[in-house]
Amino acid sequence: MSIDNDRVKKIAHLARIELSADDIKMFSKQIGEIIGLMNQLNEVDISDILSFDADSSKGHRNRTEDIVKDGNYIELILQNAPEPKEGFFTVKKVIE
Amino acid sequence: MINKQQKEPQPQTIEGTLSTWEVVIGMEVHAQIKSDSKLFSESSTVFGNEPNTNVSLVDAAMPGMLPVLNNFCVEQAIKTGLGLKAKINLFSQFDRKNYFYPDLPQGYQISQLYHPLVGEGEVMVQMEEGSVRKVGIERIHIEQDAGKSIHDMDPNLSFIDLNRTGVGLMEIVSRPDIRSADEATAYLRKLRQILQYLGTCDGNMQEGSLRADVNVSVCHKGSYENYSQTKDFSYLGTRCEIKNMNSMRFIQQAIDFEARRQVALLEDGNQVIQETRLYDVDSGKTKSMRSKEEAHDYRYFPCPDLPALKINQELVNSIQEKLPELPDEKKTRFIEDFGITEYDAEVLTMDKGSADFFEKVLINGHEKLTANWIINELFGRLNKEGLNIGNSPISAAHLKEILSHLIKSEISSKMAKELFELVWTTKRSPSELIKEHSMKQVTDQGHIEKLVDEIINENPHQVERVASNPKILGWFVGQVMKASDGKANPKVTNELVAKKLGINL
Repeated sequence: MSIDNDRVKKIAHLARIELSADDIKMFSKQIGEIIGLMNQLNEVDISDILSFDADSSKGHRNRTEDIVKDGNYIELILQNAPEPKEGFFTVKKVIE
Repeated sequence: MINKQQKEPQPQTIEGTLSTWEVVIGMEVHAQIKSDSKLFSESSTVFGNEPNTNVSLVDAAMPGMLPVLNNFCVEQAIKTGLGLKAKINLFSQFDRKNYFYPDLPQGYQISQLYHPLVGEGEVMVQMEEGSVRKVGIERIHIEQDAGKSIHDMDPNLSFIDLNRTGVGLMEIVSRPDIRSADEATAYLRKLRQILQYLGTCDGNMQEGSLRADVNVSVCHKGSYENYSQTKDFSYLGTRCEIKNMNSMRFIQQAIDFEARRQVALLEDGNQVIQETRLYDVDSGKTKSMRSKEEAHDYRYFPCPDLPALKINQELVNSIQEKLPELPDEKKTRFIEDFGITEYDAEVLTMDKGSADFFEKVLINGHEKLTANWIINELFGRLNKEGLNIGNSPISAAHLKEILSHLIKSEISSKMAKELFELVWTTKRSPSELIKEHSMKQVTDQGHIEKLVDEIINENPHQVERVASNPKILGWFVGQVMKASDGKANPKVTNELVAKKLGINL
């Protein structure tokens, strides 16, 4: 995958990040290099390896009981919100 | 009764100026999984709690928090799949669907794009005049619900409540097998009925437990048949997706509008652009959601926080064994075993609560009477009061008691209805009320015979007339009933009067 300025601009938009023209140039180069590095992984033969597999993460347990044990700490949840009102988070109006 | 030999309903057509068009619909139904706790966290799923109280640190996407899958939600989805006669995939995986929205704190939704939990299934939808539409299910995957944005609390701000964030959803994706607005709502009703029978979703559309995205396209007559044979989608028109519908009536209106809009575009030589649209209730029109187009690149990738979901066939088998009787099977059994009409069976199996109530009241050999009483007296009364079977003031046991007295002719039909009223208002035992209001119908032959003799002796003139005018018989019966305060069994009285007067009935 080649990374040019337009692709960086699109990714920045999807991630809602504002970038200057200089930023875009810098990130094109840097992301391109990162992807080049990651592409080395394509050289590894993984044809007989299953993708992310339950067997390969034996320590992982699902929850076996459907019981409510969490929640009810609205202060904690809203603690870092910039402008909570009446128990809600608030954001600049977003409406379709 | 539904059987697969029944004919298919006619598709909805739209007469354009140039040609006749047919409607093609596919639906993605989001059904909230009925569970106490969320899909990946241990906070509550209860609707209507104070804002942001059903929120854990996982739901709020605090740094370092990791999702842990709730097995019960998986079992509910498997149950749903089995109820829709679908294939259960023993291997499935979770993917991240990335997009930015204030009600999605993670910045992505955990969903299943590449390897869904449930594969192909079907829903049989009964339409008018005995026709049946078979709607294919393409897949069901499980995913997280988003939070709720409230836009009317402040002129400049949207308020965000994360209570719903992370509640488990099943996305049930149909094939484009639905051919009219009527079929679309009938399909949704049937789906809701099955989910409620299974107990995997409460189906409450007002509370948003069941919402639908509706894909609408139009095509020329004959084109759909080509698609059916080849499964080549290019025979179908370009579709538009109407998002987030939670009312049967609006779904119907939105489809009607959207199909006409597309026909008008095509007949003017324009193209339908594949896009997401919203139905505007006030104008009755659908409109483009341009913002959604911009963000359509969801950059799905396998969720690194969750291992693949592997299921044992034994688990699937054990869920299959415990699967409750579903609406179609129940309806068929009611018709075949109880000899009630298809209409009555349909009404009684509409929801599981009604069907269970019927079976609790049911008196052997009097199935039709039981059905009539429940449908006419009980449902009629419940509807009038805005109640439902779940909060009926009359219990199944009490109704059964009333009907038993009626069947044994201890009370007349008229008394049974009066008794029904008394039980409805007092919630007391019918047998007690019968005693208290001395409602017992007199069936004792000797007692009635005495009354009949008295009336005959006192009215020699009428006795003379009865030979030439047998209708006078009714007058005698009436007099006996009156003399007994309405408690004489009319059937017994009728027979006795006829016998005494020497008239053959």
